[in-house]
Formats: sequence, structure tokens, C-alpha cells
Amino acid sequence: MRPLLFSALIALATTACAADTDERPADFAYIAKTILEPSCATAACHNAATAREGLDFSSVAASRETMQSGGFVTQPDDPPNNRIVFILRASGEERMPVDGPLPDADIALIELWIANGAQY
Amino acid sequence: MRALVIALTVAATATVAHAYPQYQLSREQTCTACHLAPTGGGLLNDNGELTDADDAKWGGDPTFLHGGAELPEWLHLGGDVRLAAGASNPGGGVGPAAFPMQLELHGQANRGPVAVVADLGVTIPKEGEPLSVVMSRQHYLQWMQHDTGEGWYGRAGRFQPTYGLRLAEHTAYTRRFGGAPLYGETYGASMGWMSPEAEIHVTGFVHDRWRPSVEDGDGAAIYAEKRFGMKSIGAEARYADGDEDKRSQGGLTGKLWLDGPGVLFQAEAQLVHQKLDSGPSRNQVVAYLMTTWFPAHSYMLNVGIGHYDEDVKVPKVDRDAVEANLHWFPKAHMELVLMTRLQLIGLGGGGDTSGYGLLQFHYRL
Repeated sequence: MRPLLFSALIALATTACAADTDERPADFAYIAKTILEPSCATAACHNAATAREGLDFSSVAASRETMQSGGFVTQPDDPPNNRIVFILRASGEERMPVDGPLPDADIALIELWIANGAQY
Repeated sequence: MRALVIALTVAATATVAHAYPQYQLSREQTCTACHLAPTGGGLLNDNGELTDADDAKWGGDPTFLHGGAELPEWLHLGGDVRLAAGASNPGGGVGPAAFPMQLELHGQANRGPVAVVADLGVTIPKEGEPLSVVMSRQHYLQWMQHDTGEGWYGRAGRFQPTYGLRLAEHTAYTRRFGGAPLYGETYGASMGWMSPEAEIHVTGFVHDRWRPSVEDGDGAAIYAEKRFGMKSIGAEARYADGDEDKRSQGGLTGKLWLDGPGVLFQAEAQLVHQKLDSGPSRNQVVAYLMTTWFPAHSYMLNVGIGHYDEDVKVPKVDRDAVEANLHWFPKAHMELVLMTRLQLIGLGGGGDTSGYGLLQFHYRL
């Protein structure tokens, strides 16, 4: 019973991903809901209740408003040279999220959205 | 200044006391053996206070205000203060971190089997809304069949839907991404049944329309656990219907206490299906395995490993974390915790490594 239970849990825990490529859509609404909200709108950070530094990523609409009013994307032809990418890749104190970085693949998806024209 | 802002932000993401499920099986069988709440956390009962004193290096009076104020039998009051300092690395370099984690008062007034339970604390306010610094995470009406904490119970109000292992370590992926995030309280009604052999909790909830919660959906959660002496197995399921997505999730938990070496294993694994209005659905895996060892009187060591895959179809967005927390209980009401955490993305190939090392001071009123 015991070995079986823990084997099952560990097997479930280490389920490997089968895909080799990232086929997620580089759409803002998708990025907002799957990357920005779970990573940024946590506890008392950039959620609707606290909106630290006036930034709210708790929904697609809130993320859209925050991104547009905050000047997070100003140079669509140069994705790495935009505030949102700088914050996600910065060194030291500027780095966000403060409790752990985003995967490179998530940042790359945001860069692809910017390169495609940063349509909201 | 920037460091302070970051520190305060980290502070806000690192709050709120829960119970120590590490004490289940290793000491007692149920949460209500030590807590007034049927699902643990918050105020301690007489046995919980005695355990606090017994586990402390230098003992002490574990009652409210160290015995300095005698409360009527129907009233229970308490509070928690937590502060932490150390260093953190969000992925771009190591920096200092020092912050308050929790400042919260708890109260419970009983009349027969019915109780009014509420807490009041402070948090980081929303800019331009200074009064939002005050918040009550929980306030509910509770009914318990027996004052022993066993049997049926029901409650209605604002509380965290009962789900999963309910670890204090809110950084655990199974809490943050597994349906029990920090500040994930909702309004709802729940019923449950507790005994030393088994427990079940069923909650229906709606998100807070007045003060936004991390949980923005309406739904239901169920958690059931069956104990077989020094081991247990649990099953869980949760559904939340939000404005922009629908989340269905389920999983298993398991606990095993080895009396000889004094080691407790706790594990939880979940599958999460998120149906999105904005694109293709995704499936996630969240898991955690914690080992607890009581190496000597007044010490507790937890070592945990966690796994979170935010989309099983996408390569290198999975994360693994190792946490080691050493608790020392010098005197009743007091606790020092050395907290460390290391996170790898894609096992080191999917992004920067991050972590922290913090010393936490906890004082229970």
C-alpha cells in the first residue's frame, strides 16, 4: 500500500511533457491569463485588491489597461528593448516577479507578441 | 529604497499563519486536537496551548497574553506577529530582504455549539485607499456538533475553502498553484465531518465581490482523508468558474509517520485543467513531497521538494523547488524559523535559478 501510494504520487508529480515545441498563441489575452495573472497578481502584489505601484494584472482587461497606461511596450520593432521584457530579465532589484523568475519560454512568448505588433 | 519596496512586496506575498499539519499523525490525529477551527489554523485550544508549552525549550505559560488576562470560557482571543529578514534572489542577483509577514488578531465567541469567528489584520494597502490596509481574511459563523471537535460541523462566511494538505508553507506549488493560494479566501458555506479515523470537507464558494481575492471564481471544493493508524490517504477535487476561465482539478494526498526515526512524510499531487476563453485549454501538474523530522526537543526540520508544470504541452516551463525550514521553539508563544528555498526552471535549462534564505520570528499572542 505504502510504496504503491508514494510511487503513484511521485510518478504523477514528475509527469514529463511530450511536446518539443511551444505552440501557444502569442495573443495578449492568452498571455495575460496564463502568464501575467498567475505570476504577477499574487497575494498582495499586483492583484486587484492591492495593485502595487498602481499595476493590476488580475484579469485580461486589467492587464491590458496596466500595460497600455504603464508604457510597458513602446518599441514593437525591438522586443528586448521594452519595459516589460527589461523587468522580466533584469539583474538585481529591478527583477520581477520578486518570488522567482518566469521561464525563458514565457518571456519568449511575450517577446513574440511584441514582435508581432503588440496588439491588445 | 527600491530594495525596501521589493522587500515589502515580498512581505505581502509571505504572510498568514496556518496550522502545522506536520503535527498530524506525529502527535495527534485531527486538526481539532490542537485548533478551534475544524480545518486547523488560527486559535489554539487547551491541548494546542499545552503542546506549544511542551515543545518549547524553556516552557512558559502558553495561554493568552502568557496568562496575564483571564478570558471567560466562551471567548477566545489571540494573534500572530511574524517578521523575517535575510536575502533573496529573484533570478537576477542576490539582494537583502527584511519585512513584516503578518500582524493579525483572532477572535472566537462561543454560545453552545455555535461560534462567531473573525480575524483582523493589516496588509499592504491599495494606493489611494489607505483604509484598505485593514482586512479580515476570515469571518464566519460556525456550528460544531461536539465541543471535542469531532463529529459534524458547518460554517458560513469568508474563509479558505478546505483543500489539500493545508501546509503553512504557502510558497509550496500545491498551495500557490494548487487551489489554496495565499489570500485565496472566498465567501462560502461548508459542511464536514471529523474523527480520528477520517475527515471530509465540502465547500461551496463565491468570490469576494467587495474585496478582490486571489480566487476570482465561484465553485466547490471537496477534501476527504482516511487514516490507517500512522498513515493516511486523501482525495481532493475542486472546480472554479471565473469570468475568463474554468479550472477543474483533482488529486491525492498521502501521509506516513515512522515512529522509530520520528519522520513524517506528506505528499500531494494534482492535475489541473484550465479551460480558457482566450485560447487553447492547458493541463498542469502540481506536486509536493515534504519530509519532517523532529531531531531533538523544540526542533522541527522540514525538507520539501515541489514540482509545477504550468503547461504539460510546452517544453521547459516546468519548475522544481527544494525547501528546507528549520523551526526552533525557544519558549511558549515564540518560534524562530530558518527558511531556505531554491527553484530551478526546466531543471536548470528553462530560465534563471532563484531562491531565498530568511530568518523568521513568530510571536503568538
